[in-house]
Amino acid sequence: MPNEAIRVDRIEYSYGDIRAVQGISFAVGEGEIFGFLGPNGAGKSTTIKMLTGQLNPQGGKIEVLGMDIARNREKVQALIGICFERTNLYERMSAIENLNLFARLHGVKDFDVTEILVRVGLEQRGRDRVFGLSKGMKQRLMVARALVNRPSVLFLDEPTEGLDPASADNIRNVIRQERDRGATVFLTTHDMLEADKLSDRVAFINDGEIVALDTPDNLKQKFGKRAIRAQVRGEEGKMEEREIEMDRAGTATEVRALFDRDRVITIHSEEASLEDIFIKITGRGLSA
Amino acid sequence: MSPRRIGILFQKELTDSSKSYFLIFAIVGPLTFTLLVHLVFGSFFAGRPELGINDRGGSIIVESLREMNSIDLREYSSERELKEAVESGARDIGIVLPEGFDARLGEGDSTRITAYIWGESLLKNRIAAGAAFIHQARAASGRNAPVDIVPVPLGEKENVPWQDRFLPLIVLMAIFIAGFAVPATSLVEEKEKKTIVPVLTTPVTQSEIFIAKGMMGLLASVTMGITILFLNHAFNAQLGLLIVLTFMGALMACCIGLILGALMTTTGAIYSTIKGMGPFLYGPGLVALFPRIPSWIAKLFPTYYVINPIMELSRKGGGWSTIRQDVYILGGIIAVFMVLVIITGKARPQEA
Repeated sequence: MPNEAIRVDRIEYSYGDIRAVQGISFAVGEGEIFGFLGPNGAGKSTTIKMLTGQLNPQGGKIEVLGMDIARNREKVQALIGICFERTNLYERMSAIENLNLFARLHGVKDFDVTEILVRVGLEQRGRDRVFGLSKGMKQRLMVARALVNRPSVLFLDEPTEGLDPASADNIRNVIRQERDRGATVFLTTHDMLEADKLSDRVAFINDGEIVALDTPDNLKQKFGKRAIRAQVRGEEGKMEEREIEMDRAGTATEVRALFDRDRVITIHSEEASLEDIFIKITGRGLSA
Repeated sequence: MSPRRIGILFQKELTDSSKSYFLIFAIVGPLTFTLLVHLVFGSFFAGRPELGINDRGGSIIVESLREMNSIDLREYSSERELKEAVESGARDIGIVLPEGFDARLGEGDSTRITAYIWGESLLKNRIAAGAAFIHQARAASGRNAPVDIVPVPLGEKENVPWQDRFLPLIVLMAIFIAGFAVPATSLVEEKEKKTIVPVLTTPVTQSEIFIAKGMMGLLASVTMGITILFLNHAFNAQLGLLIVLTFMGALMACCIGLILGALMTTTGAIYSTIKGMGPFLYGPGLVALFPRIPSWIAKLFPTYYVINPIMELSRKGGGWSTIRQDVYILGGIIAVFMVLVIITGKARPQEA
């Protein structure tokens, strides 16, 4: 792993009797997109709040960019950007006023509001009051706000949830651009497909504990089942499905037999999705 | 703590809070109330001046007054009945015409008459009724009548016109609606809409947010306080002291607003609290409306120490020596509230 941008060491947090985060540890390298995945209520948001200094861990230690966040909250917050799950923009102010406000609070001197609006596709709506923007536009503006101080670490909490495909795609592109710029991206989501597309590594959190952490490919290899799935027309002309498990000694023979015996209409390889793996590990789905 | 960031946040308050319902209400409310009081107790709805006469000598002036549409005249058979009518407020002014009044007028002799005046009657009504009487006396005598009117005030012991009674309430409203409700609602709204969360994840501290919101409330409160005092002709030679007192009142209002803003989490709760706190904040103003209520009751309210010195200076011609004690108490109250602001401000709002 390159230099660590985030190091989390056995952090804990409880709301009364409910243990939201139970002694989790992990590290995120500089320039890495780290997917932090889990269903609602798994502890994702509590973790991101602790990582960004909004909550103090009740146990353990967090270092962001080499600094203990409990002791250097202001210094760390000057170097990070956060996009929240829930819209929390100043609705009576315009998009430009919102962005300028946060740039000034961060002390950014050469802030180019037009450039950042172009990046999120809002250059035509900059002067509009926020209450007049659509949900997708507001979310893009939230992402833009997280970028005003050119953060070294970008925290994104469910950035594409409930968005139309175009808005979601725009946000994914911005995330990739930030990674290419050298920023570390900490992405929480329960959208496994998005995490798979974007993340260099992913961690699964369930009931406040990390249950798996690796690259998406390694997780698929470790926990998933690879197979070939084919649609064939059988002897009586009926469409049928055939599945051949891969990585076995007889796989090649079975594939050959398939073509010899049946008329193959479609054939494709199939690998486990992150969601399948999550269900396999935890026994519960992500939308729960 | 960074003055630069406080300045940026204050500027944001000016941009954002200026569109808030409560700031608009804080400006429009006291102005409307002032206008209404002036209309209702000034000239509007006041009706005709009510003049009572006890005519002992069958004066021709009475007949002339009876024909005047601008005066509501009623005759009384005895001075006692006339006095009772004025005392109860049934007549604004009551005049006793002695026997031989017309003859003395005709001869140009100086004539002394008694005029009973209801203490709570409007000045303009007294002047109008008195002027009508003098006018008719001149008309009857054909010259400048040398009539010497001796005024005898009757009625409530505390003869305070309604406009003056309402002034403490209006000034308290002007200072406290803006100073108390603007920071309180602004803080709660930010918590409710979670807009405070991203601000607190920049290098901004909660103290800086409190100071910026307090400054906004202070600005609105002082501006409204001075405006209302000006509109009610309450400024006099003690201008500097009046501004200092308005500022102290605004500071107290802001402290209360920030404490409530820190403790409350929903706008519904804050609106209920603002409504519920009305008697607490405006108590001295309500007491001033009814002079029969013992004045010591007003002293039980912290806001008494804001409004009493202001009224002493603006209405009773007092100076520093007369308000000194109240101002010291007010300083102490503000210090207590400021300590409470610091304590309540330490709780992180997003965890509320």
